[in-house]
Amino acid sequence: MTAAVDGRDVIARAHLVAAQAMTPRHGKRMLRWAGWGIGLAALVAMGCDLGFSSERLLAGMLRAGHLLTLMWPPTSAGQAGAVFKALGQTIAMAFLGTVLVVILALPLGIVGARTIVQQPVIHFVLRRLLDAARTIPSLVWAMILVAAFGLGPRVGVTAMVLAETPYLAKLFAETMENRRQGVIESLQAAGATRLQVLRYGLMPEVLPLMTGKALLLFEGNIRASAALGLVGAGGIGVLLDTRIQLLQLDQVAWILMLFIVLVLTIDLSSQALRRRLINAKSYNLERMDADA
Amino acid sequence: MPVSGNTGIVGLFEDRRRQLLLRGRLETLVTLAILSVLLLASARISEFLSGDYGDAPFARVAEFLQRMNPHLKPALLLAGSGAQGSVAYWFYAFPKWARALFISVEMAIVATAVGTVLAFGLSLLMARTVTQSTIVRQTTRWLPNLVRTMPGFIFAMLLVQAVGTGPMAGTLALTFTCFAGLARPFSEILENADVGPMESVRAAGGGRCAQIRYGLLPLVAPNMLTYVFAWIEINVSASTALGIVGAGGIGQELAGALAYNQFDSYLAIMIMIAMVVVGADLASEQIRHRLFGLRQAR
Amino acid sequence: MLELHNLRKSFGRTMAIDGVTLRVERGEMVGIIGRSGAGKSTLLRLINRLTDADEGEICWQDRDITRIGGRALREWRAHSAMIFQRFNLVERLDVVTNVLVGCLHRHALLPSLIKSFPAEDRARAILELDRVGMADKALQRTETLSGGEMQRVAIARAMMQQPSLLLADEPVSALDPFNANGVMNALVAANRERGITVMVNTHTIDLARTFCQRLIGIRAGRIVFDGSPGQLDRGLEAELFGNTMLRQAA
Repeated sequence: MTAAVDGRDVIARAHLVAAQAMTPRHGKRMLRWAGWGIGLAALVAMGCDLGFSSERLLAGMLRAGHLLTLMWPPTSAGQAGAVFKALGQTIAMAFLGTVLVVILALPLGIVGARTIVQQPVIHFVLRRLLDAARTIPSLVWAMILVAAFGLGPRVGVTAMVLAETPYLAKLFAETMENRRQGVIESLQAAGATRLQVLRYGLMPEVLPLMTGKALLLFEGNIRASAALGLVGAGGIGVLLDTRIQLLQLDQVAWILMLFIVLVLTIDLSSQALRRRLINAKSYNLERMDADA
Repeated sequence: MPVSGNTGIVGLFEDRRRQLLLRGRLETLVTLAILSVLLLASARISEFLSGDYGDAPFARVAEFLQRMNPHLKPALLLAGSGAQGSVAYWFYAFPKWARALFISVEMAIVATAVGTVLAFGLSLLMARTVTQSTIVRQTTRWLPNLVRTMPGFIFAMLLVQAVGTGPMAGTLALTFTCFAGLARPFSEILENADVGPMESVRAAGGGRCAQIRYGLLPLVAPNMLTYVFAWIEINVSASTALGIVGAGGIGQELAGALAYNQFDSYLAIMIMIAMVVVGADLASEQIRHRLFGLRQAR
Repeated sequence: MLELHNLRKSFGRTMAIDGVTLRVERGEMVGIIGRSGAGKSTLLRLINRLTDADEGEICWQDRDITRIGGRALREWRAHSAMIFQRFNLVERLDVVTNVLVGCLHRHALLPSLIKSFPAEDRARAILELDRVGMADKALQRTETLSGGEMQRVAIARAMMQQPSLLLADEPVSALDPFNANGVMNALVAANRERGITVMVNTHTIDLARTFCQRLIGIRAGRIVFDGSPGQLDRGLEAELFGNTMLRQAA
């Protein structure tokens, strides 16, 4: 039949034009399927190693349901004062920690940016050091600092600074490296010195972005400092820990509600601030034609 | 070039400029004032300024560093674990710690994998480009935001009460935070994606599934993967600390070392954590490079 | 006047400029035409030293500027203003500050770091903006401007540098015809009213023909045409631009 002949004819001509595209790539497809299969199997294996099992999951869900009933109704149990004090401490730690981290991360970030310090060796070494220092979470620092220096929010702030300065420094450095080549060149073409190029070409773009990242850091720090209380480094953590252990979950629920309200407020304000930083402010010279 | 020429225009400009400058300076001043007040208040509350640093605080720092010092002796560096001063003595519980670290990494991987799948599913419901129903979008939007307000520790502590101590609680906690953390970026990526390819699939007669599979996924996958990789790193770091609340992993070893006042062991574990996380970072970078290389060909 | 002697520049294995010798007199308005990738951009960038030549010399008024550096280089760059296809203004700064960038080379470090320009410079900036019709937007953030407006600000900035030479690297390729005309007219005004030597890159021959008295055709890094618009015929046009998009059927 003509249809069948046409079909084969088309295939034959396609082979002539682009043989490679027509060759079935069974091998590659099998490889992909095998890859997904192995990945899935590995995942399941890891799950079992971690102690996952259907019985435990079921029992856990039942128990979780029971725990949730314990959370209602949330009550402050007359401890509102202590809770507010602890929350205040948490925010204060987060704020102070953020400011200190920003102050320390700024010079580190500037030196670590390829745009500013072009020496490849210094750049490489500094960035690797920052990467290594980044790996220890603040809680790990906090534990040993508490063991060495005692309890209190001071220790918590120190732990935060140690853990997060390298992280912010790296973010700052990356922000400074993502500059637009064209703008830099046009400033050079106008005869500006290196510092002037940085001041006019880099800073205006980079400053709002970095401030935005600092604000995000503050948001994260509130949660981090809440956790630090667990090891005695001040804040709301210790209050939560004792109550959870004692299964006084109604008080836990009350504290959590306050905490959520607090965090949401700060998150929203920070978001508004950040939007304002990036927004274009346009000022018009009105009525320019007033003069002849 | 005569300057006095058109003083009208210049004059108007200078006036306006002065206005703006004044307003700008006022804003800066007010902002600085508020910041200073907040700073002083927080310094006071967190007891940074209360002055009681005890006697000889720097000496205490020095002593602290001394306690962490493993006192390695160069001659004995490679000796066995019985010899005080060798690396093996310093890392005496290496097998136990390595196993605990391995568990921490497993926790992170499983949590990221499950969290990604869940977040992707939810993000499809959250995105304007996929779900038409506003009701569905609004109701699903608050869930990740709510979960994100709480630090992972709360989940870990509660889960330990629910499923008992051990890495299962930690993995579940990490899954929750990862899921909440990824849902928002995923939905934003979906919403910012170019609808063009999806529409062209629709124009060619494809149904909803085909539109998503061929018109949306290839576009958004690389962006989403960037976030997933970032979260793998976050999770690895976080899982090391979760053990402190009993949720499994190296954290428990850290707590144990402190219980026996073994500061040098603590340092050893910190070094191991650093190496593992750096290794994970490097590995994810390599995988990212290769994956994105493949994607170009596709 | 500007003299280029046997310039050579390669990027990796690509020879971008292959032995260009050229002489441009003061006050000329030269249009450089050729395909994308023919080397037009590289040529201009060699002149203001954004790129350095591998071989050859560049002389301005009998002064060799090929290897100068430091302060002398910055003064040469100020002297040879450049405007770009993508405008390349600092978008987060306001319009007048972008124009004032043109006088940065004359200011000491400290005042320029705090954006403190003398009143006379500010006045001149406003007047330059007024000449391109942008004075009422002087305090606006540059990112709020359209493409045509940004290029006009770029021209104002170039004029601020009080240049003897103006290098325009595909200044209108990203603009619609109306704005393109405006920009080209501004270039012509700079050339006629201020006696500035202008060298314009473009891949649109008609544009070059309309506004320039002298056309230089570049192909694969070499000058293949140098003359008045009238002398450029169809055959040469085809040679300059070629046509490989559609294969002749049979």
